[in-house]
Amino acid sequence: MTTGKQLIKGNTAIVEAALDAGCRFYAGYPITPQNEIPETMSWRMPEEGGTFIQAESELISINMVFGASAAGARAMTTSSSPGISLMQEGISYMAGCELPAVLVNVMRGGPGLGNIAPSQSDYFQAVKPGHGDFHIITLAPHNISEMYDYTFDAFDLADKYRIPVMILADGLLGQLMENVELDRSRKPALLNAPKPWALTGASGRKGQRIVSLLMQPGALEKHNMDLNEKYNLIKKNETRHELAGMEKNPEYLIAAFGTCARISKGTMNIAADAGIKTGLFRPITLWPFPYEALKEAAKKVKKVFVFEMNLGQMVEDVRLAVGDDSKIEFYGRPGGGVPTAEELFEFIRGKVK
Amino acid sequence: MIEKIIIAGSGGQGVLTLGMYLAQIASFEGKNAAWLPAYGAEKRGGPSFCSLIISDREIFSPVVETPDTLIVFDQRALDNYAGKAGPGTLVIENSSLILEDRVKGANKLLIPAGEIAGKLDEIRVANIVLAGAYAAAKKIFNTENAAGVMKEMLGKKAVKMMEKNLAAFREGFAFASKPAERI
Repeated sequence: MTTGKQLIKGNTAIVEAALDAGCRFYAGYPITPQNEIPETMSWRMPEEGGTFIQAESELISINMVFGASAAGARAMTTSSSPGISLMQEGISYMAGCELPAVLVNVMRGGPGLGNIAPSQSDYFQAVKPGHGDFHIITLAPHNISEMYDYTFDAFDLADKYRIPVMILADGLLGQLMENVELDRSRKPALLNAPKPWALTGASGRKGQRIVSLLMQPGALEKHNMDLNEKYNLIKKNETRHELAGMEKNPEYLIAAFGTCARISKGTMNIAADAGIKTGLFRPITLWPFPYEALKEAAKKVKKVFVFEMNLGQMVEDVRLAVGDDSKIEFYGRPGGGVPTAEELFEFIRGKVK
Repeated sequence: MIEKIIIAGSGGQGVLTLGMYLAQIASFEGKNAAWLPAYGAEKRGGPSFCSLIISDREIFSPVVETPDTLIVFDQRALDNYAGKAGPGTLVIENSSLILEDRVKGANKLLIPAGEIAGKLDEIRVANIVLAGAYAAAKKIFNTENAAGVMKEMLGKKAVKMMEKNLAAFREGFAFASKPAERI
C-alpha cells in the first residue's frame, strides 16, 4: 500500500513484534479474545524457524515457557483473563528463578469464566500477581502501534532484568484493526547478549541450577532482598507514562490506561468544546506505577477523574499517588461494558457543575 | 471528515470482508481506519457484525454508537440493527434477503445485491456489490483505487476471482448511481 501503512489486528501485531524481537518459542492454549495470537503463531513461528506448541492447558503453556527460558530462549505465552489465573503459579516460579519471559493478557470480563467482551478486569492480577513477594513489569498499550512496540520492548526488558514482563491488553485492542506504520527496522538490543545463567549443558563448565526453593536459613530472605534491589532499579529506570493536554493549564485531570485512555482522549475533545479543560495521565507501566509523575500532575488540577473498565482497581494506585481522596472521582464499567467518550464527558460535567 | 459505518449480516456472506475492504481503500487513500468485529461464536449462518470508522483525524473510541452508514445483508441484521440508525444515517439494504423493511423515514438505498451477484454467477460477490453501492452513495473514495486494493486483498485468488469481484463492484456502483433507486 502506497501510504506505508498496513491494516493490522492488535493480536497479529503482537505476533509480528514477538518474532521481530527474536522470540523463537511460543506455547499457548486457545481462549477468546486472543485466539489470533496462537492461530497466527502456528504458521508464522515455523516460518521463522522457531517452535510453536499448542499445549494441553495454560498450566503446561507457562511451564513450557519456564523451561524454554531456563534454556536461554526468548519465550512467550499469551492468554485471556481466566487463562492468566491458571498461569499465576508458573509466573511466581519464574519470578523466583529470575527467568525472563513475555506474557500477554488480552483481558475479558470476569470473575470466573465471565464473558468474552473487552474489560480491564485484571489490573489487580497484573500488578499484584501470584504468591510470594515479587513483581513483574506490566505494560499497557492503548493502540495497535503500541501493541507492536511494547511487545517488542518487553523482550529486551525481560532479558535486561531477568524478569517476566506482561502486556496487559483487552479484547477491544486484540480484535481491533487499524492502519498503522510499524517501525520494523528496530533491532532487539539484547537478543545476543550472553546468558551465563542459562542451562545449556555443563560440558566445559561447572554445573549450575535454576531453582526457586531456598531452604537454608536466611537464604530466601537474602534472595528477596536481592530481588527488591532489582525492583528498585526497575522503578528508577523503567517507569513510563504519557501526560497530555497540560500545556493548556487544565483544571481537571483524567487518569486512565489502555482502551479507557484512548476513549478518554475523545472525551478531552468533547470537554474542550464545552469549555472544560482536561489533561490526561496515562500510565504506560502499570508496575512500576508512575506515582511521582502523577503526584506532580495532580497538584496542578482541582480534580482527578479515574476511568476504568472495571469497578475500581487502578484507582487504588491513583489514591496512593494523589494523597487526597477528596480530589478523586471514579467512574467504571465492569463486565464487558465499554464506555463512550460522551458518557465519560457527562460524568465529568455532572461533577464540575 | 469522519465516517462511521456498521455492517451486519450472517456468517459466510462476507460481512467482515466488506468492512476490511472499505478499510483498505481508506488506508490506501491515506485516511485512518479502525475496524472492529463482533467476535466469539462466529459460524456460517450465525449473526455477523463489524464496525468501521474512517477519518482523516486520529480515531479515539473505535466503537460506533450511531452510524453514518448502516449496511445490512439480511432480514435478521435489519431487525437487530435498524434501531441504531439515526435521522442522518444512510441505510443500505440488500433487498434480495429483506422482505419487511422496518426502517422508517431514513435515507435508504435498497439494492438487490444477491440477485445482481447471482446474475454474475457468483453469489459470494454480493458483499462487493454492496461495496460498489456504498462507494456511489457516499463518494468518500476515489473509485479508481477500488480495483487495485481489491487485487491486493485477493492475492493469489485474484487470478480466478478478480473479474467477478470487479464486475460486482461496478454493478453495485451503477445501481446506486441511478437516482430513481434511492428511496
